[in-house]
Amino acid sequence: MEFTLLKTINLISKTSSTKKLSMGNNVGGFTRTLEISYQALVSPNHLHVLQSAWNQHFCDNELKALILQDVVRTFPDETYFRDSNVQDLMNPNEVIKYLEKVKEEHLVPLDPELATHLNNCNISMELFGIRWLRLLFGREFPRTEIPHLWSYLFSEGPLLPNIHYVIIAMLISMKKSLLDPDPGTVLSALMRPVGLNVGHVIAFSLHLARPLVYARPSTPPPPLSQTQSRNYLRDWSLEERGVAGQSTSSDEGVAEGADVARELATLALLRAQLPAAAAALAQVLPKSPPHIAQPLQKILQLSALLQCRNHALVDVETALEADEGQAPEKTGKRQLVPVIVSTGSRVAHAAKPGVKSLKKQVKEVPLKLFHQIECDSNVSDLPCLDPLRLRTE
Amino acid sequence: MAKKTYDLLFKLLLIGDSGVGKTCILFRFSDNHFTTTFISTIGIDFKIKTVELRGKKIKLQIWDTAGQERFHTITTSYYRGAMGIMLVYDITNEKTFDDIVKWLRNIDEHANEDVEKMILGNKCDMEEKRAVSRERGEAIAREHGIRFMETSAKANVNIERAFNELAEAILDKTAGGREPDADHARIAVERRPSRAQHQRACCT
Repeated sequence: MEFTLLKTINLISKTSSTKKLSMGNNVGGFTRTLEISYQALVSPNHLHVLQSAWNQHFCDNELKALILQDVVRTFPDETYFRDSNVQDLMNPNEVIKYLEKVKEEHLVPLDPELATHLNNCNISMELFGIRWLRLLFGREFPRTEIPHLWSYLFSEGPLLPNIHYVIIAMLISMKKSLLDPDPGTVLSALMRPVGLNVGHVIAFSLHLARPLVYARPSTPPPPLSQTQSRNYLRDWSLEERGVAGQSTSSDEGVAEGADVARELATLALLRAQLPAAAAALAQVLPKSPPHIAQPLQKILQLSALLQCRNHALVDVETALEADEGQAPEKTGKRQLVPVIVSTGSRVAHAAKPGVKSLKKQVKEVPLKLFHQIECDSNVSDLPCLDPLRLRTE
Repeated sequence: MAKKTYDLLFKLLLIGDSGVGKTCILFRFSDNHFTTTFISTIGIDFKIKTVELRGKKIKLQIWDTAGQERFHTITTSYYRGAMGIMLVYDITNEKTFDDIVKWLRNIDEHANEDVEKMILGNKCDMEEKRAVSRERGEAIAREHGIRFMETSAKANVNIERAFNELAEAILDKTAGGREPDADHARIAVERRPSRAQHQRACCT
């Protein structure tokens, strides 16, 4: 090594005579000199062999400076990006180190089988993990589900202390497809996760973070096959979330306002989508054999029940909420809004124009005209035509 | 163990500046699909496609790298295992062409010595915005002794051809691919005219 360095020094002093080359014995001076002679070093062709090693070194240094610059310039006004831990995370080398740490400290003890298999496939964490982290899982889940996941991620402050649990939860949730003997298949699964359930991943990572408080969630529904498109997932994402929410809440024992609202949202989604889907099914299968006709009939009955304009079911549940001292309008309406504007309900309206008008009717309050006699009694609180008792008749 | 559904496995790599269309080229080839939405590649991505060449089933494992400089240290670590590298520039953006030299240097420094290379001038459907003439592309390819093609992922020009030609070149090298003599004959007689043909096919 020292020999090579000496050779380098000799060559430099030969080639870059114009530069001030004070070949001091101290290392600091040497480095500085090298920096000065960088231009001289990279240009001449006869230095090609030397060039690649040193050139690489300087290119790397330039790159490091560029990355540092990028990191420092990222949202200078946001305190989050000023935190040194966060800045470290934005540096690619730090990300790789971090991901390896997550693997060694969490994946290996929790699921040695999966960790070993990934090793055997020669798949390092950074291959997929850099994207997972950089976009905060933004490409791994349907966009509609991202807010849900991010709410959880940011719930414990800007340093995202739960993020490695999410990584582990995702990996273990996908375990079945990740144990495929073909490394290519495994890598594809990691690069483009299919059918990952946000609710399940969150419940799982909660369990990983506090195993004594949160029970391990039951296994999620089997992922949909590749052929069923992601749109399908998106359409039903709210419903899935509702189901997942249910399982989490049952672990805790108490249904909270948000869970009730989620159930209501699920119900609303069903109301918006099931009738249209059932009608379409019935149209395609007009004369079906009894083993199809019977379940189909049941589905149609259920959807008819959902379509019934009596929305009392929702009101009753909202009222229950009110009994618990929570604002019923807020929990009920707010949660229902996204479902109503979702594509599903549009489809339902398009398929069945009648539904829309029915919904409008429901909202109308039937008017009752009170007769004078009914208002005679002064003690009555019922509304009357002459609340101020101005009429003398 | 799942049974092997292919005879040979080739690892290919796509490199080049950010936004030249590496991911689009890969998408066109693997899914025959094109989208104008720009979604920048983060770190590295990967697709598999099996092709049949000379009666052999060849599984192409194609690595798509991020062009952004910040990912440089990550992406260069994948040069090593690559058997073929596609170097992509954008014919409507001169800088991406100038950077070809830089990418070639990266290949020299990080890739296997015998890696098969190919330069692709992408977006050749945008003739009205062309900033780099085909002659310049050909010249730099000739200078470095590398295959060259102009492609368009959008208009599906030369995409499959490029991958097939790169795969064939690797197949030529691999043991059992061909007799060495036949190899030379093919290079001397077949490749040159066929390449000229591609170029004529594109953007004329």
